[in-house]
Amino acid sequence: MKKSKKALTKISIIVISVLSLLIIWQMTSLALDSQILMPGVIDVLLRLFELFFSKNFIYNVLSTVIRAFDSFLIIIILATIFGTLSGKFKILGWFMTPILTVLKTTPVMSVILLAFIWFETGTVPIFSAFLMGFPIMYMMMEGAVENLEFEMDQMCYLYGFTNSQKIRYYIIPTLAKSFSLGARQTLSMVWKVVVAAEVLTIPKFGVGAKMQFAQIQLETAEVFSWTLIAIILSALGDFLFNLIEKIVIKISRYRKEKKAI
Amino acid sequence: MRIENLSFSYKDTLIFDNFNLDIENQKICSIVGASGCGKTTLLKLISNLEKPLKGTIRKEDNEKGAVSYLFQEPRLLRSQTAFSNLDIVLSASIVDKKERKDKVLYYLERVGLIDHRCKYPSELSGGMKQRVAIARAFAYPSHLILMDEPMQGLDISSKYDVLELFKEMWDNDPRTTLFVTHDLRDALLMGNSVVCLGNPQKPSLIIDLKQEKPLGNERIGYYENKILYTILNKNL
Repeated sequence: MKKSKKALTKISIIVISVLSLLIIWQMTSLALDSQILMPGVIDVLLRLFELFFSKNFIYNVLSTVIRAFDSFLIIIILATIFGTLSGKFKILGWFMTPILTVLKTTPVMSVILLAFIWFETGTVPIFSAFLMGFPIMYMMMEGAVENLEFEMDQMCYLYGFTNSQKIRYYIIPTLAKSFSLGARQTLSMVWKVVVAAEVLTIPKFGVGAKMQFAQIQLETAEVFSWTLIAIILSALGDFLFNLIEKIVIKISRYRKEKKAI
Repeated sequence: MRIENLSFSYKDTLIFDNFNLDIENQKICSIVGASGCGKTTLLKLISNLEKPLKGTIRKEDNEKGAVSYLFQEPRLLRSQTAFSNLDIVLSASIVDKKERKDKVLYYLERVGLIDHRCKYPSELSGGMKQRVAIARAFAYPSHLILMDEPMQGLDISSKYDVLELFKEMWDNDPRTTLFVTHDLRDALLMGNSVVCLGNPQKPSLIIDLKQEKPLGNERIGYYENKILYTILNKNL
């Protein structure tokens, strides 16, 4: 009962927050009275509705989604492997330090512009997002491995855990939290960089490319609409991630509890 | 168990220097002493977590093999239920799932946590977690129990509940036990003997309590003073 009341309060506050943003937006639009500077909420929503049914809408959205997914997948695999190994083997960690420093400090635009010289337009967003997202996941995994408790190692040794038992019951569940947090942050970064790279490189299909076209034609309502689509995609990605995580946790808990009954 | 000519140093500090000690088979030996005198180190040397510079630890036939260790913190697997925490440590010795499950349930029943078997460590109180650790220690097929101040983080009532439970389980299944503690009263109540450390070459004091159990308050006070005097004298 208490929990549902808390959830209701949370939803109410979120709704109030969204409504406040919309009101500020609409009031600014009315004050400026210019479709180019700031279109109104209704104009943007109508444009968004039109876009949904426009030719190639699905190709544009899917192209961005596939680029983001490719990049996310490559980061998750490589950063998890390298981060975990660096946490375990200091030598690799030291070797990776300068590379990570360069990646963390290089401006996103420099990466995109350089990648534009080296690769074809469709590959640039994937490559740029990889370079920007890799350090997040890498550092999260490296830190998680470094923070594995020596005391739990002793417990596993004394109670005769095999290596596979130690990995399955102690190491993986302990690293899972950092993995989930790192993946969430990486996903959010990947969306932003993929769309930014599409804006700069203008591939044939892509949310960013459409944003750029709309901006050139001073179609501010359309720029807003594509931005909303990018936000919705990012939120959808986050929602799917949460859903998968919840399902995995539920199945795992169910199996463990079933064993004890 | 016989500790012979044991030497061990930690960062230039000599903890044991040709140290000798006999620990009686299937009895509880309480180990006390000032901080840094080597109580935990002794347990680590016995359990092979540390290697001695020299010397040997000769175990009786029924003390060899696996060791059950009760740590200061329960050190349970956070991602596993109370049931699984026991089930996993038994999986190597009991292959049959049904038999293993019965054994786990038996020990959880003994420590009064049968209704909490599906709970995770984060859902249990400090005392309950330490009960799971005790169940794990007794369920594990070991011949030696090493306790490194397992009651340290508990409040008074949980502490005596857990101590009482341990004693009850131990009476039912006695194994050679070393009980490291700072609390002299606990050491005297639990131990069949009390060993006071402080001198790297030999125990500063050994009290044999086998003939005196159960100890009355007067005797406990007497021995507390005796141990305290030994520890303080050593430190002066």
